[in-house]
Amino acid sequence: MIGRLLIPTSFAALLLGVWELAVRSFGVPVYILPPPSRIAITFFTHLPLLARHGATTLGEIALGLALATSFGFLLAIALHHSRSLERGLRPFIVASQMLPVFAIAPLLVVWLGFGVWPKVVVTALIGFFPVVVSELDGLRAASRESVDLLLSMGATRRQLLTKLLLPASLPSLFSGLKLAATLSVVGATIGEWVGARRGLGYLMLESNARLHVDLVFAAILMLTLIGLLLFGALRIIERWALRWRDSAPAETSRG
Amino acid sequence: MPALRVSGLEKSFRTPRGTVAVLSSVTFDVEKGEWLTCLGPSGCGKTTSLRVLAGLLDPDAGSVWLDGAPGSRLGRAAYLPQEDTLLPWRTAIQNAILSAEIDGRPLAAARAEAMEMFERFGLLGFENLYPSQLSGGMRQRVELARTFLSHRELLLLDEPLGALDPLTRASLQEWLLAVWSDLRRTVVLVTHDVEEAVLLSDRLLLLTARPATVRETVSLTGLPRPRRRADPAVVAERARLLSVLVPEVSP
Repeated sequence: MIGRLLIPTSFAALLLGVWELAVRSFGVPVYILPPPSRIAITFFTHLPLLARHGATTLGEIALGLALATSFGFLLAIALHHSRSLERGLRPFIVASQMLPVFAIAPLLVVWLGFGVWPKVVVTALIGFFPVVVSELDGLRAASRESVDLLLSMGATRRQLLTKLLLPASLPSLFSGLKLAATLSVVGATIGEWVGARRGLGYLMLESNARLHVDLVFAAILMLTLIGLLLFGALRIIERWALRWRDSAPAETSRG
Repeated sequence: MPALRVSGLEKSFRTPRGTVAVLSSVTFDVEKGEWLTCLGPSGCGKTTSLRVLAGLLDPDAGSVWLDGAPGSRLGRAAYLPQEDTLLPWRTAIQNAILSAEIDGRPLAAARAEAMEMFERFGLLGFENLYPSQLSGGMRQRVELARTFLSHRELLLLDEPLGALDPLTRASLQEWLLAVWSDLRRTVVLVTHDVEEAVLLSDRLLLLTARPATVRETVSLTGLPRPRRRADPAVVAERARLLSVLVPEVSP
């Protein structure tokens, strides 16, 4: 465990050290690139402010992700059930990803106002694609033999779904969810850039305009922490939901 | 009235290289409580015939009567596919009671019944382990326990011991024989292991290479039970069958 953390930690320390040294020795102004020590100080002195805006952003991300997950999940099941629905919708689902979300974010502000909803919708739009695609793949993960087994037992379509196809789809779904969580941080930030009065994206724009570059970096640090928190939480849920996968064989258990 | 009556089954598959006939006028009966084994060369259509019997495939022609009635067979026989079909996210006991869940039977009773079966199957103490934590032989026993716990009179077993090493396989054959003598179900087993067929069956169907058709029916009720693989009569029968089958395997 310590060995695993040692390399990335020392790498980060080296990188920050070089940054600190370079900024100081070349006399780079703080409003262009602050040294890491300054960012750290700003982060801790502005922690209440960052936490307040961070809570707003985290709320948007959580809502957007929940929307993306539930909608994506249900859509994947519907698409899996109906071949014609899949044929009809798949091109649009793929095309929706070619659409630059940046371009429609201002429209969403026009339609939904400056509140929380445009950010939630942008986040959901970005997060929804990996969920649909991974769940759709996951629903095909069960082997033909296990499908045969359940059918031979007289399972209904619903039982086939709940007892076989959905549990078998979970590993794939979690891959999609982790991707969606990572993207959702970007989504919420974009949503806040085009029009907001709160949130880390708003704070970044505001501080940038006032040349408070250290606060921009502190906000980025906060966003990164939020992303890591989401990812970590998903990993914990995944480990629990897929605990059958990690279990070591009893007879050949390691030491 | 036979437990299972199969008459004139025809089945062919369309492949990119043309139509392949897999079953050709397959006809046989299975009596209640009888152990019937289909023996034939690899790839002769044994699995296809079991899938037809289980109701997973419709034959092109011919009929299958279960308990004297035609119609859908899904949910009326316990089918054990050849591949490992334990659901990895379910513990051994949860896998074993899957059929009860599908049927909507009370789960507490099903669990209690499964625990009794696990004791008989030598699985006690392993009921809460996941399949990935079990050895190949134990997984196979869980699959067989699931099959026996299905409350179906007819069991369709597709090479249940095929993937095991010879030693595990030999011990499971004897064990399966003991379990079956106690529980007495109607069994249709598909295998290409001649010794296994002789040890376990009341009657053998010798199938030809593709398209499979019944070449010969061999009654083994003359061999006294319990059988041992070293019994002279078992050895002799095995040798006789091999001499009949081998020209079929290597033309």
